[in-house]
Amino acid sequence: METLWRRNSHSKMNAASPKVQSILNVSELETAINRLRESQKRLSNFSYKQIIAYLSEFGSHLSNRKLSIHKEYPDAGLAFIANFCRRTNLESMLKTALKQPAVLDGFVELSGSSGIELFAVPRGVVVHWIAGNVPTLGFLSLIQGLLTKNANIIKLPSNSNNLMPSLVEEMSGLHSELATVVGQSIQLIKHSRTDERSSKALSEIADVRVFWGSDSGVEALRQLPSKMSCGDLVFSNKVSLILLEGKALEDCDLSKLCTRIAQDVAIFEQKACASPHTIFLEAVSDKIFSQFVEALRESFKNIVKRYPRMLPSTEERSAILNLRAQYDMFHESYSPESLEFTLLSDNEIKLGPAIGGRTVFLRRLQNFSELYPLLSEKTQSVGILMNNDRYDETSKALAKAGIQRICRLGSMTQFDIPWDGYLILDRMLRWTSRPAL
Amino acid sequence: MDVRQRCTNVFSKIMEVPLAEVKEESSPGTIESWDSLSHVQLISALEEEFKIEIPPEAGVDIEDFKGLVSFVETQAQ
Amino acid sequence: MSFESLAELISKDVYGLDKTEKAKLFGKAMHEVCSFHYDHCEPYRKLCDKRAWSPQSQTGIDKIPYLPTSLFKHELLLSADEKNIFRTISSSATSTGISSRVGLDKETSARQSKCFMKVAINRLGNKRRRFIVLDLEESLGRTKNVSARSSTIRSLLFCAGKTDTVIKDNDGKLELNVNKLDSLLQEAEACKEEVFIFGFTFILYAYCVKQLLNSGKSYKLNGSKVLHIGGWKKLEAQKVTPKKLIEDCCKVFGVNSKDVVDFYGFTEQSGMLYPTCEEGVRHVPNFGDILVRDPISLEVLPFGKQGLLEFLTPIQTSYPGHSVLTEDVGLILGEDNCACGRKGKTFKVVGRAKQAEVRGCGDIMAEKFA
Repeated sequence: METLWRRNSHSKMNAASPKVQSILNVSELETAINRLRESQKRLSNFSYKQIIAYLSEFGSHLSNRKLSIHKEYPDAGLAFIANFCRRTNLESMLKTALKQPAVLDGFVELSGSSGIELFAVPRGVVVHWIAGNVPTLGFLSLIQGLLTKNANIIKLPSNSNNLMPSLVEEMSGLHSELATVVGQSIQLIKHSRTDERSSKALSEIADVRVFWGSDSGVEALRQLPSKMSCGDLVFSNKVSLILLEGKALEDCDLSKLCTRIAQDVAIFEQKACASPHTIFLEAVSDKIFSQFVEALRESFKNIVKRYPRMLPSTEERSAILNLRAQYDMFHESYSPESLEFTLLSDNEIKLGPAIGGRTVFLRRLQNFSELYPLLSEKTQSVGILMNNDRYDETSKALAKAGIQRICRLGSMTQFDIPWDGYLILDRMLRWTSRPAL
Repeated sequence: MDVRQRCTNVFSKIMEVPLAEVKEESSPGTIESWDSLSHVQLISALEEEFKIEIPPEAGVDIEDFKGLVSFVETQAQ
Repeated sequence: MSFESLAELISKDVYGLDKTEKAKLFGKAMHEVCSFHYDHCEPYRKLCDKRAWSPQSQTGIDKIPYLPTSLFKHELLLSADEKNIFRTISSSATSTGISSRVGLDKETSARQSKCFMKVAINRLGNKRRRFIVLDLEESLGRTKNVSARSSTIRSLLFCAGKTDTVIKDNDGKLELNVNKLDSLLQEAEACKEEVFIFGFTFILYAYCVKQLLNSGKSYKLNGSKVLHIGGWKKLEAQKVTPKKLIEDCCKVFGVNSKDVVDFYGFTEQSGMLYPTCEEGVRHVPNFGDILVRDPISLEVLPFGKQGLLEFLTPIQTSYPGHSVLTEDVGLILGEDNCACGRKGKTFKVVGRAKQAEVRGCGDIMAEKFA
């Protein structure tokens, strides 16, 4: 079967859009902040339903393939963002995080509370430090800032492309008063990594700091001075995995299951923190293991139509070829001749390594509990196939071990809340209580 | 109008295919315009049409038009 | 064990066999050596079995299971008894900080030296000349564990009459010994002596040629040769192309452009050397072959198409380095048709594969395994 390959378009570097501003001096920052705070006040006068309707309209608008943004950024996950902005999705997120979204508009007596009313007030200015070339997540972070009626400053990486400015332009270009207010309550900023003065200034302004990035990058940013009342949301590098219970495997439709697994691996080309790199199979017979491997190989071959394989980087290719050779020599490899995907199997109980390029490690164990010592807060998501009788016990054990998301297979990379252990929206709000009359 | 017919109307409009071309086995593999973008539009339109919620995980099981109708029928009850 | 076909192959004039003459002899020699590795290197045998190849397979050389260069950084594979390994060669540090290692027994080492010398003599002539080495004095040292840099320098010294080094260490920084170089080159110029100026490409240009250009010094060393080897990465970053390097060498040393020789080789197949010929292209000697593979499908590409370079040679028998897929990109230009008169395939190395890295928020560790 011919493999469909695509070139990654994320490396486009255009000149900064007029919407992206560098902080030049302190008075310019002060002006920008004052403007943002004023806009934030106007934003907070809209109801949460109006904001949802606006974001939903933006999502519909974005799903129009005739927009030039789709041609310019074909691999940027724009469909993902459009999907995220669906009314039902936003409502569901708010319900999960806040129980009663009406708390965003004023005091609400929460059901079950004894005469106490809560009002979730926006904290003010959320500063988002966006990671490398993954603006998609940064944009989702921005949407949550808007949902909670905060002003938002997006600090873009110095080598980022124009995707984020383009998205903000689309968003603020819709014809409504709210779109105008939204546009005025967002500030995009770019400065060099070595510009400590600017980094410090941004950090000191923030009422909420959101960090997306590598561990080392985020750690450096967290050390920046901030307000005592400032809350941090840290999203740094994570790994994810899949657990398949032997008994459940025997009873399931292997082909369907493996299609879902292949999808979880292929979306975002396995680079997302929720992308699985290791599949653990518990108490499987040799026969079932072989059948599973065959079904998985078939699924990976078939999935290229829908998710064409991105060209591997030099490092990725080198690592894959090296590991394939090692595994052919010392363990097992179930890979095709091309670099379409790589399946490796050994007797170790360990995670990964996370290589990317649709490289998956298959490991067999007797009991999932053998894994728990390996898990921590660095292991984010577990895709799970399990019979109901053990589900509660196992998922509790996984949660205590550090896992933040237990997911159905096929939807591991769906951004939802909580994410990385945060409900997110609640952290962007200041909760105020009063007794009910 | 029954659920299937309403789904067909929505599908035909979003995917820009004639009603007669919408079949049970229609899938992203057979309908060229059915990609990730149009899929989002389709889900939104069905949610509005039937006043239901289609969670992300549901998308995993919807592999063809038949699956889509089946899901909507369950939700719309 | 005697490798008769291999011995016969090496005994021929190094670029003397045309396609037809070579095919049979090379095929036989490769089969001899592949079978040997299959029988004596268990990990390699397992790999071959997994890839459905055995010495009994009646397939072409493109089906011989290759090993990627990255594997040699992680495994010391041997087809000989470890007690017979008298030297290991390691490559220069890579971006991962891990070096490739190969183990040589006396037989392989001797064979590699012989092949290396045959190629070098063919290109440089069969006369000893003074070597002016653009490196430190200790690069000429002799130890059990040698770096690829020392190994290459020492390997070429069989062509050397007198040898002088003209780079010094100034508090950990390399520096050209300008006076010494000047004195040596003036002497050569005065005596009309044909010398070899030899160094690693980056050191040659950055520490020698550039300095001479800046100081306005030049020499007339007609008949001398400038030899260089090693990566172009640093020079590419400074926008110095092969063409510019040749031009500037001709300018400062007064040599003919045909006498600026760029050597290409790699640790995993030490002994195999690919100097640019007088026409500026590289030739594959009798005891080697080359394939170009598509970087994604890994299928063999036809002449003229760029892809990953795979090199085959039966000359090493102490380790399974007979078929190695490199990370270098290049293309095969032709066969038996070079104006220089040498037979065999000609090829060009374009560089390393370039692909923008897309980072996500997953904790990816590919570079540690590359």
